[in-house]
Amino acid sequence: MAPPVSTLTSPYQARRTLPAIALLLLASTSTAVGAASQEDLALGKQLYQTGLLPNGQVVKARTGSGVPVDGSQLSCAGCHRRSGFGSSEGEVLVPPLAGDILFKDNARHDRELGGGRHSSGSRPAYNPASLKRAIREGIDSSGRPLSANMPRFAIGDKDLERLIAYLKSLNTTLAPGITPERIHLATVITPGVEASRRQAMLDTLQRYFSDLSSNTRREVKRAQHSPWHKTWHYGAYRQYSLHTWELRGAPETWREQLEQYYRQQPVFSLVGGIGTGSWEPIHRFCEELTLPCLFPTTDQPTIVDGDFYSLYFSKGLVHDAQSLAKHLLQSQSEDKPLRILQLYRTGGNGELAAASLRRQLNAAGGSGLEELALDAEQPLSTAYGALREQPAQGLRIIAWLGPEDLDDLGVLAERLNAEQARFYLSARLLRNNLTAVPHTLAAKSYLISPFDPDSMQANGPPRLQFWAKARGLEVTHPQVMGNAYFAAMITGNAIKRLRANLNRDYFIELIEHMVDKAVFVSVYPHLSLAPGQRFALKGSYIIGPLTRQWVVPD
Amino acid sequence: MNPIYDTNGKTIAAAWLTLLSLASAPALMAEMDHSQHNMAMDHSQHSMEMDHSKHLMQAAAKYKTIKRHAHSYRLPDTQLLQADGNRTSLQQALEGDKPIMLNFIYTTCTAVCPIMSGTFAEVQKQLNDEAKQGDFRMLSISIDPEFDTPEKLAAYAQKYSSADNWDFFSGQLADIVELQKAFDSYRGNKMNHVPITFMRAHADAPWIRLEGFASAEDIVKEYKMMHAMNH
Repeated sequence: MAPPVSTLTSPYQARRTLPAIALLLLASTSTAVGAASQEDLALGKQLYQTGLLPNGQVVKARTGSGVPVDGSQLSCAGCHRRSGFGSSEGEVLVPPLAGDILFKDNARHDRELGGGRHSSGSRPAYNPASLKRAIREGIDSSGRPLSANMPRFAIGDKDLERLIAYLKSLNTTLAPGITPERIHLATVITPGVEASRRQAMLDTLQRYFSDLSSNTRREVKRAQHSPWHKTWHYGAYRQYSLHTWELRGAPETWREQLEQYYRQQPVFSLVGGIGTGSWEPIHRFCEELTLPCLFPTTDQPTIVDGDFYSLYFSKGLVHDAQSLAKHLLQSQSEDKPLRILQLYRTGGNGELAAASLRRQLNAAGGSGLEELALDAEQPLSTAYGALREQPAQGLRIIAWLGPEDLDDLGVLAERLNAEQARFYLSARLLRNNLTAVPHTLAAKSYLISPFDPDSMQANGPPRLQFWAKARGLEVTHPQVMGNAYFAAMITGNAIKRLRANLNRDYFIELIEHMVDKAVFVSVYPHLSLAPGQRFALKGSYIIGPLTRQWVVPD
Repeated sequence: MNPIYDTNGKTIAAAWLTLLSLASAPALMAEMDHSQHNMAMDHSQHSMEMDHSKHLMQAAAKYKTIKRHAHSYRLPDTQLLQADGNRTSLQQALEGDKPIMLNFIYTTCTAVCPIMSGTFAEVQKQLNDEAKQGDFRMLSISIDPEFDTPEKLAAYAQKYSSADNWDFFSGQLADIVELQKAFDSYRGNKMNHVPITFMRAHADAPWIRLEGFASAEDIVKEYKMMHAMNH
């Protein structure tokens, strides 16, 4: 009788005693853990990210505490995250699974993890059999139970093998833009940006990263000669290179320009950036190349569910329109129906804002919306006649116009001297030139703005002001520089926390958690993200002569 | 073992554990002191009264003990927005003489809320008749009210709730922060939140605070005590 396979100690023994059937078993096992096909990996990824089995059904499970859950409520990626690096929330620690982490011995240092709170503790390496047992029965490779929150999944062998193959494939290649000494980053500037705004953004970003690179005493040496037990810490140290990617010409040509820049020098992430018009070509480029695109200054971000790599401060002009619509509808009453007139110039951002407001009001069954569209070059004064015929009582004039039109608007405000007429101005379209608002207009107007111009941080958050002053930089454009400073700070801090795990997905996941904890380092009232959220602001201010309201659209 | 699995490969460890349970169950039963089961909340003991195989899974899962305290919280009358878009207030939502279960969640939470909401869903199923009759109510309040619009809350409710007695709320951010503070559950940052379940027998009763991942059994047991108290 052949000895059981597990007690074989010598290949000679195997040749003498191993029956044919055992050989067959060995052979089939080795193909199971061999290279997985692309299709297998795709199915494994689907199971990991969405909880869907190949047959389209949702996987079923029960937590260690007996709560039935299914893949639509609790997928692997939900807790272990898309990167497979795990996460933490409150006191719950979700361990990493990416690559070969599970297949190595894991010596946990209890002192680091608050000893005793973590149920896995130190454990030997998993093998495919013990890993399947862990997923199905919640027993780890040392025979101890996994956390009660880890579901015990009902998954067949083949599906588990695909899942395990997918886990092994995570984080196996070094992210682009990383060399042993450098991390390459880039910032994108579209055509049409005012020179002073462009310069303000660039000065801030370039200075921040050059400071990070030069504020080292001996980091470079430590990286090269660190003690063995600190390699994981110091070995990760690199200097930053920030590249400027200027785009020219029509938006249809930007994609090719971006690809060319990337070919010349791949980068780990885009940081900040500034654009007029739609940011979409850059957003698409980033999504397809799995390139993080962090907090550009734009009034037209791409708003879509399910994309991962682009993070924005707000929804831009769409937020203006949505918050304004909600505000207007709230102020409506039965005996005082709303009369709204929107002014805009064709071919610019104002037109898009008007379209957005139109959509919002139509969706709410709004009637009483009138519009006056001007050509790009047509002076507003040509419309005075038409406007004066409007009875001013209860009229809401939404002026989606730039600072060039402020004087004419002031004249209009003077001429419409009934007390009930009210103007609405967009701080974004005015590019924050609020001191240029004529007095006659200011007395009758409301401002839509993502930040409060009277707040402490409106002139730049205090931290930015100290930082800039110490470097001889003037805060000429608080919002643009505040945005750039925030983007740079979040990038630098998140990269530091990545240490040696320079993985783009993990980078984004860390930022999703870090934004909430960043206090007073932007001009905005509060920025907040969470897993899956991509717009850190959720509304706009509507600021009147005597009131200030923060409006979050539904 | 767990009936939902088709474990056509029982591992040696599983077999060993089964043997252990059969061998030692009588001894463990003898040690149990039933009188303290409602207070000390040593969960492994409490679940042993039931089906042994299930207790085994739960004891094997090394369940952290939850803490149970009674408090009389002074709550503001927070303005709340329901998942159907209607407005209400906390006092209106809490009025009545039926037991209430309450927790704080947010829809993009990854590790804590799916478990808490899954547990509430299980409670609803275990108390299916009572849920459909409205014998108790469940409230989940979002701590990320700016993102969790009524639409998002409705979609979240769809994933978990199977009866009409479970409501989801949001509101103004500052008000929700104030409310969390009143419940002594504000941790500064929604990522820092910890699982707590609040229960109350009726409007004049104190709040029972269950800290930790309270199981469906814990909550059902507490409910049954409250129900008995009310009648």
